[in-house]
Amino acid sequence: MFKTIPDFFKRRLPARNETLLVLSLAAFLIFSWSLRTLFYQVPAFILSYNLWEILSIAAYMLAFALLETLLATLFTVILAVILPAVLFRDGFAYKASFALLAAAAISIHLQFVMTNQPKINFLLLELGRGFALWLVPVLLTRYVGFLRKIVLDVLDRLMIFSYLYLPLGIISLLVVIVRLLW
Amino acid sequence: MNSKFSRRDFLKLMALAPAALAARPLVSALEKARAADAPHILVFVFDAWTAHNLQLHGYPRRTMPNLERFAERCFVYHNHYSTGSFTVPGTASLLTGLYPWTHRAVQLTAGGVAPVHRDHNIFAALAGSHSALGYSQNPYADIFLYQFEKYLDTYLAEGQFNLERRSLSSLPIFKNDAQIAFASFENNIIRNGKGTSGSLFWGMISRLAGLANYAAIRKSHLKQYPTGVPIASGVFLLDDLVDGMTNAIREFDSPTLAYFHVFPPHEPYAPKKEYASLFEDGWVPLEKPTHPLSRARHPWEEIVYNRLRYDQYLAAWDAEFARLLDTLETSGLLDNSIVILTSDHGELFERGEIGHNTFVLSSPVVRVPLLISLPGQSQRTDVHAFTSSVDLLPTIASLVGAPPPAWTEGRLLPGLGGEADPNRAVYSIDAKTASAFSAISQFSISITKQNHRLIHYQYPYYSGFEFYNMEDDPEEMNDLYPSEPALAKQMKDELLQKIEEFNRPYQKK
Repeated sequence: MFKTIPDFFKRRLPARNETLLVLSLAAFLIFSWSLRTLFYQVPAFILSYNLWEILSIAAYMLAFALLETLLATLFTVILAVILPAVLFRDGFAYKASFALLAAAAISIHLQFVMTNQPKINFLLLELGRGFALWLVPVLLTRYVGFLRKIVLDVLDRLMIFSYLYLPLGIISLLVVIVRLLW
Repeated sequence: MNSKFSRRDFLKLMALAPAALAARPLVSALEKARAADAPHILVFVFDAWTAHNLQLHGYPRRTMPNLERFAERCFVYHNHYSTGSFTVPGTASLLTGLYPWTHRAVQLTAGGVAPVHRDHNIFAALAGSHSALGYSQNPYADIFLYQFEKYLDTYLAEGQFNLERRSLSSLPIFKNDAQIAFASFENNIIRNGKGTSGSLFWGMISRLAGLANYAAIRKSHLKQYPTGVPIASGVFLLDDLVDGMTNAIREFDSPTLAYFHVFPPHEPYAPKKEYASLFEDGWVPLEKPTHPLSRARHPWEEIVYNRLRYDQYLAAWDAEFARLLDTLETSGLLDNSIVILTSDHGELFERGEIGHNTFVLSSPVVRVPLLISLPGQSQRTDVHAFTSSVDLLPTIASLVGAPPPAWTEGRLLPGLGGEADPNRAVYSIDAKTASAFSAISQFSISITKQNHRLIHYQYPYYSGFEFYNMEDDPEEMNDLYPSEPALAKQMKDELLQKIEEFNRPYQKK
């Protein structure tokens, strides 16, 4: 059994290069949103914090963004493992990427419009919208060849952001650890 | 002199260092032992508690009957003003005895008082004679307890008495960096209130989880709290809060200064069932015109409805807090305690505004109750002089025989070592858009003296003065600024001079 479980995962895991593309997109979305919020807050922060304190707050945000990026990617990988291969693992790069994009769109929309007492119907509608936002581009990418090429090219180019964001996240995490220890 | 100081002398001196280090806590312990018969000091701060909605101060509804009973053994200050109109500046002034322009915690997201004032606080002032306990249910006041933590013997986390603990920054892992963790998480990464979270996914998941949890708790307590369960940074029950504080007080084994900053009656107003239908008496408060600075511009019916809920919540909190006062009485603790009840700021139900997130500086948002009961006191003393929240710190110090610190900007309260002075100017300010590091150029500020109150608004989109006679017109309906130029000008000059004075260190040369 101990031999078969690792084998199972090995067989079910998506290809490494595809996982890296998804990781890059997750980093792009999560870090960009985090930095957008930070810059939105900076005018308030400069009223009461000095430069070092603001940089420390940025470190917390980026360290959290790094963890969130890893968790979001891990979540898509787990989906690829547990769902039928045809649903998620085959074409993992674009299917997982569109899932992250749809989830991000719904999350941002909810953050702007959600009241403190959302009705269950409203949340179900959002869930439906999210599924449609995922399904339509996935079907188009699956069946329109040139579209697939464009999508994969874009994902490939987004990789450049991960060269910037991921090291920034690691440095930030170290800064936070140092601050917490001393 | 340096040339005579040899290496051997240095080594001898170094040998004394451990003894000197050991002596410091020893001296402190000896001082505390010497003050063993000193009274406890129990400071209870009820967040967003205005004096205007208490019958004690002339309100037609009897919102807090138990408090009135307690007031019969207190000094009751009828014209007590907070320095600020929201938690951050008001609390900082209570704890430091400094005006907001001095302690510089003036913004909604302030990270604490200016570093130069980190040792200027009530806990430091009484460190020699009293153990210190700090608790704040409001995270924006809790920031100051973090800042003054080295003076606290006992720190109770802000979620200590809540049903749920949702703030990441209060986790023990962030203890060494609580202020920055708070600013990062609560004000940025995961904002559970309005606005967008810095975390793209977790922010939303956390908010949904919080709402689901709140809905579940609300459902399970619907019979007890028909209009909703009280919520600070997390959901809590009034009973638990009072029980928690009572238990904390029972554990005092030496003279203790305890600061309890509780959320009620801060919104959301959540009266218990027995109080949720009180005051449906047909009484209608005086309608006041919408202020030009009102952003919300709430309809009058909504204002009246929220005032009613606030009054009901006051009544519910009064009944609950009475249990704590009764325990103090029956256990004999009242005979050996100075009990102080006050607030960090008031609450507004007029001029288009509900609550205290406003630029409007009308009296209800800054005039707060102050009741002080001395050990064994059995008579009530009413004080009508104008007093400020900065006066509390020097008065407490004086009551326990400590000298009022030189750095405080307050005075001894009349009746408790101080004298009533009609010429004394009391200030309140709202400068939430100002910087902690530069001159304060946009503000709402008021000066109160000689029974008059002058309010000055200074914003790019609105500026002006209002002037009221607080004795003849406590509701601030009749603006005397155009009709009483002499006194208004005198107070205006004094106010402008004060502004120039506190801005001078920040003016660019």
